[in-house]
Amino acid sequence: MFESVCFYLCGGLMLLGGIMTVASRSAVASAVWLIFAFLNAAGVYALLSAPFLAILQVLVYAGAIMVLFLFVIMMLHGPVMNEDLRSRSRWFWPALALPLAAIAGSAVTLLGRARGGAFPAPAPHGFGRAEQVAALLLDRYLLAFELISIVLLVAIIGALSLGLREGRRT
Amino acid sequence: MFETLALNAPSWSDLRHFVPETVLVVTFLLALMADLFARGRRPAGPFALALGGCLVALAAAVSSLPAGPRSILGDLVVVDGLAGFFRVLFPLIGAITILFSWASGEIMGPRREHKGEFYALVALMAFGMCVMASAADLIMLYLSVELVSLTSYVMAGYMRTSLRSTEASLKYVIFGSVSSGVMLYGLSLLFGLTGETTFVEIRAALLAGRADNFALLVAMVFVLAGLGYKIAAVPFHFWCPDVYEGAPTPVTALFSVGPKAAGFALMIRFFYTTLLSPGGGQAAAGAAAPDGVIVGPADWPLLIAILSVVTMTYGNLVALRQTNVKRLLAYSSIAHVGYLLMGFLMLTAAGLEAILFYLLVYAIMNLGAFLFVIALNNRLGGEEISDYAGLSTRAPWVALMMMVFLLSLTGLPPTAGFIGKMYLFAEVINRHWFWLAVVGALNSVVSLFYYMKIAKAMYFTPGERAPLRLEPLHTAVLILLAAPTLALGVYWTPFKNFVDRAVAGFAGLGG
Amino acid sequence: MIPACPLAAVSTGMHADFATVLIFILFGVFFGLLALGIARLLRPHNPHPEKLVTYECGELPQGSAWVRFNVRFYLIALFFIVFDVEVIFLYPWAVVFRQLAAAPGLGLLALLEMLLFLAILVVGLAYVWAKGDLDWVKSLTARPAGEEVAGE
Repeated sequence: MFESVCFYLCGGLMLLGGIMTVASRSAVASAVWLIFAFLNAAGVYALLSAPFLAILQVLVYAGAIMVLFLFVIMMLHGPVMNEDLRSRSRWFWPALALPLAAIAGSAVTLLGRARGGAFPAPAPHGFGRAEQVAALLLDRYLLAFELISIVLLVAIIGALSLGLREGRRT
Repeated sequence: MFETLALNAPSWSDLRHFVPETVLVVTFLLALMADLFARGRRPAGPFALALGGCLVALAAAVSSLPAGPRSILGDLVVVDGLAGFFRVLFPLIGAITILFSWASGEIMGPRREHKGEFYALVALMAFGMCVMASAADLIMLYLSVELVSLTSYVMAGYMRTSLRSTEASLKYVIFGSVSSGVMLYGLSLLFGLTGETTFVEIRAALLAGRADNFALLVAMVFVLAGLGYKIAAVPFHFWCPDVYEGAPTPVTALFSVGPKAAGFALMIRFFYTTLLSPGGGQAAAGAAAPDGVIVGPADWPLLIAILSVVTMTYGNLVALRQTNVKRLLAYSSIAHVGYLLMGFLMLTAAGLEAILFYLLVYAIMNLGAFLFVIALNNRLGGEEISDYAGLSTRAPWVALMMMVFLLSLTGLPPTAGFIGKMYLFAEVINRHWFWLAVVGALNSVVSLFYYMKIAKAMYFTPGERAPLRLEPLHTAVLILLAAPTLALGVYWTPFKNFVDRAVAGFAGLGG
Repeated sequence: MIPACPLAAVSTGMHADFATVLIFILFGVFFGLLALGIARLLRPHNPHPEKLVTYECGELPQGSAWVRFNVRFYLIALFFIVFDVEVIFLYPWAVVFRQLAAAPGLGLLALLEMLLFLAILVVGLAYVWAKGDLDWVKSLTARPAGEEVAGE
């Protein structure tokens, strides 16, 4: 019961953070709301038997990636967006309809779950802890694990080759 | 406590079935390191390493044939007929790309930095595509798609000083990350529904009826969206023309065949494995492998038929209006995806044979057409149709070779494209989807118009008369591609056998 | 099926661990509000526009505090994220390594697996380093000889 309350609280706050991220007038405020949403997502992960993922969410998303976002904001516009960026584009309605459709779809899915038991695989005991993640990564998913380092290497090369051109010219 | 770890740990000896991939990834790392020590205008070291690596991988792939169905490295990848087929194709595409990039002004021009890195990335992309073709696990599926996508983003933005190239890269990144997000959501739903990550186990769970049908449909459509993006099928094609036009032409050539074929490979393995009930239906008369029964949640054939029709019609109609040849070929490649999807209709062995054969042919003829654009861009500095005016007098042999590619792309005899299309249409007609066959045929007629616009410019529009000499390397590779395009249209049995063996050894059909 | 965690015996009452975190968060918020609330009760209420001015060591602030950051911050942040993610992968490995090392042969295997992972990323580090992109000043001025900068 208590867990359910926490879950819906975190979920609701995450949704609020997401909405405020989009609706804020200042880009920096958007970023801070996004951090708020990420932290609540971490809470949801923790409640969904994924403790390691929760920690990771805080460290990587709420920490490192948000710093990157703030740098980008500072690099581009400063804190307040231009008016032309805020005006309603022709994509406004599709952009509004898509998440609504996704929510409706998820809701129907959940109803289906109540009907036919759609999510029958309960998480085993000890699921999602760092030990289990390690046991899977170093064991069965070894190839995937090594592949991740290649993907990260490409990310470095990409950042280098796409990012620095302007900086060098100034 | 860790007995399970010791038991399940993928043994290193599994790598002997993974030689081409290993070679390619080592090549990538070596070429990247060599780039750091490269001196002078041309990065000979990375070039030689990457080319050599691709060729060694090709040799290793050919020598490993026929690849028996073998689930290796913790069941994350399957080496079977399908993987064997594609790991011959991808190093080959990589080697051809590397070869013609060496003489391309867009890649090797004096203003470029990090030239050596380009060759390393081609090798890496070949690796990523090979992994895509053999991935048998949701995690490998996602990782390999991401690997190829990330590499593509870097390559698309390779001309950093060009605004168009930067824009192409940006669009690619944004559309790409959205679609991979959608796909990831689909994959997570699938995992939630079944509790499994390997395709085979997912099928078992689905057959056991453990999943809600609607949720399953949502998951499958999301996965289809992610993969549809990679192959540029129509509702997910927005990035395609801009990226193809903005990226350097050798990169465009690679994009138009490589990741597309890899996307198909992954789609084939994923959907054949998860949606087909093995041996559920008995062998159709005369078929090499028994056709399974589709256990999917929805009317799968209709879904694919609609996707196919929309894709080919859109691609062809928009291609009609193009004057830039790169853009024209981009839309035409969308149309070709539509034709290829026809083979997907019933998830049959014959359909698979048709797809693989067409992919092979398409790779050759499309690379050829793009190489023509590259070679002329080097000399003329443009790629508008009007730039090719009077080419038949300036460079008659080159114009003739382009004619062969164009005829083949249209699907006219006596070229390879005709044979490829014949197999695809035969499959559709055998399954009694006559309206689809008619739409496909009409589309081919439409495509004739725009391909012949190029031919008309080359042969009937007067232009300059001064003879045009291409880079010798370009001419050589052009001949290398034009010859099989023509030869396969007359005598295709060995290739058909090659494809048939690949399908016979495909684990998804129980081979 | 997800293989059951071999360390399942270790983990009991996972949510109990997070209850600690929750209590910490609640106390953190509580103390913050407490301090503000007490201050509000005690302090004199005397608003003045000067009090809202940004504090610049006693000087009046000039111009906006929002300046455009150099693109290089962004690049360094990007590299940071990549290596941050790398560390994330080190963490679960480090958690189980002692137990793995106790079993014969497994310790070496796990070490090799992680070394391979790191070696590939060290290639990336070497790459960034050799290209001079960690070098703040050099990228401002010096350029490799023989390459032009002009746009197209």
